[in-house]
Amino acid sequence: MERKKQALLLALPASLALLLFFIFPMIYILIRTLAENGTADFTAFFTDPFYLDILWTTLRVSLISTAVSLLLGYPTAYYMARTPSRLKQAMVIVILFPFLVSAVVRSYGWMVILGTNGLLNQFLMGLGLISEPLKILNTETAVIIGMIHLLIPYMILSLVGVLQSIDPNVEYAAYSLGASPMTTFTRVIFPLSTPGIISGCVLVFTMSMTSYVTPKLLGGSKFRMMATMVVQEINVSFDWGAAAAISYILLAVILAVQVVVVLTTGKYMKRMGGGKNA
Amino acid sequence: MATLELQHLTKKFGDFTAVDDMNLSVAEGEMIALLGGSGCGKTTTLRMIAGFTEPFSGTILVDGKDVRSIPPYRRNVGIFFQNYALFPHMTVFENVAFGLKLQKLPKAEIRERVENMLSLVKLVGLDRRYPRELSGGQQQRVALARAMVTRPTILLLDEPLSNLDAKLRVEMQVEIKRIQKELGITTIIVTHDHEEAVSLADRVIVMNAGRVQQIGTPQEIFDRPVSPFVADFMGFSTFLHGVAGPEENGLLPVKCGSHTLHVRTDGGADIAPGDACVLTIRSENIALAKEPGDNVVSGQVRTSTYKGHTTRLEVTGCFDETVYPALSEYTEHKEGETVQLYFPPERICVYKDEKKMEDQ
Repeated sequence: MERKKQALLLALPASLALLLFFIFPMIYILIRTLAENGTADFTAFFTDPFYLDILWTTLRVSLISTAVSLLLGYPTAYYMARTPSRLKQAMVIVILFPFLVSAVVRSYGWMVILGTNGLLNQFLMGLGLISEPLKILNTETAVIIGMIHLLIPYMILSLVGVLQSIDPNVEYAAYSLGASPMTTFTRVIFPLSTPGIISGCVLVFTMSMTSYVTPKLLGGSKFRMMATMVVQEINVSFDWGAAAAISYILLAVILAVQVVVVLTTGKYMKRMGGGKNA
Repeated sequence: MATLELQHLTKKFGDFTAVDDMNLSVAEGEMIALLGGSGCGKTTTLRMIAGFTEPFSGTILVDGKDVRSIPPYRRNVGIFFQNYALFPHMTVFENVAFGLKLQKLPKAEIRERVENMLSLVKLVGLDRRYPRELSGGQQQRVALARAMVTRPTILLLDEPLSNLDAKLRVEMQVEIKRIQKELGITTIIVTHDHEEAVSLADRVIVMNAGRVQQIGTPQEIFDRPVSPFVADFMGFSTFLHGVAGPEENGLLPVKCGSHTLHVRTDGGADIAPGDACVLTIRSENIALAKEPGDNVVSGQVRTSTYKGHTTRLEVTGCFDETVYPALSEYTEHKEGETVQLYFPPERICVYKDEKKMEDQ
């Protein structure tokens, strides 16, 4: 009991800061919107195809970014988890390196690469593979590319932790019982790594759902996601009510997705318990 | 059912040689114990046989066929891991059934074989538990069941009984041996416990630093270790250094300190008069003597430890080295008391003192 109280005390400063600077403003925004316009801003969102399209674009970009990050990140994470510690440390540093550069700078980097006269087009045209420059910059594709680049480290690090905790002998045991590497992966490694897959996907999905800089800089002026739309409503349309409604709908969608993930995988995760045998 | 042959098997990790030119031939259905301290190469040997790691050089033959190019999942080698390596996301039943399901056997047969195996390892009623809900000993038995249920041609057991309590260990020793003989599985068991090796195996291999020190029947290794190292590993605790004299009537006199012990060699020892040698004898083979005679030396009891079926003494003053007799009759000896000890000539093992040469 005494320890519990101490722990509570330690959590107090951060909790207070969150309450004061995040929870209160959020509640305040909601109350003000509802007081001024009632539910009009919310109904407007769900009846206007323009807004629904933005929500759909946001979901699509986030789901694709999450899926591609998982597919690209998994083999890397597996390799890292089965690599001697010194090389692994070096790889962790390399993966963390992009964090030293802000998302803005990284987006400008992609603009240099993906632009009409960018490095990629010059390279492909120089090789004679294409005659017209590809239009990648200012499209959804550019946003997804930038997003994956930004978020894949989170995916890899989530996966490495879990994959590392899988005893290599468990894999060998599967082989010895006649399981091919493919069967070993589907029946043993993959099921055992689900906690890492889930945490990595939830993390990457949430971050791409709420991303602002990447869609703003790489998507061009006509490309809109939920976060960019919030800013547009405030700065361009001066419609604070709509901005508040979009923020809340975004929050609700993210929470809903997380609840679904927890409910569908919770039983399975519980069964896995500590992950390793005692 | 298969024969297994290792020829000049060598494994290196960088500059370190884990297994050095190992040769071994295992008959069908035979049970071999690999005995050695940690890092002696026994586990590495198992991993090469199972195909988890490539040998540096040498050949592994199963039924006369080289298996080096066969991947581990096609070798049909059952393996028990020291840390069990159970599938944590599967129940006991699913763990044991894993290999059978991959063989695409009918469901009814899988159920029957798993249940039989579980009753064999005394885990009936636990089939729906997850590994983390089991005690260490129970997990160990699940791992054993999983390794044996597929009836592999070769079974590799890495310290299968190390975590069991004494009573269960003896029970499982009997069970493993019974199942192994019943199914006729060629088996290699790795252990660091010489009593386990001796009681389970048809033949015992003692390894040290990647090299085979001795291969022999349990009795040969237990009674006639080929070197002081093997003797030490097999539980010999009294070691004496001395100088050999000329052999007479099959008895080799060795002068240890101020006494001379006679060792029955019957011309079998390659020791010349004047050679430095090492003598060793099992504690149980040293006896109390009532009166002085050949091979009887007196010394002072330093400590006396009651061990249940034996009393273990520490006796000094006989030779330069301490002597450790284990007396079977219950005898009380006070510290400082003088005892007369008899060293039966046919029970003493004698070796040339290689160490003196190695040290230089």
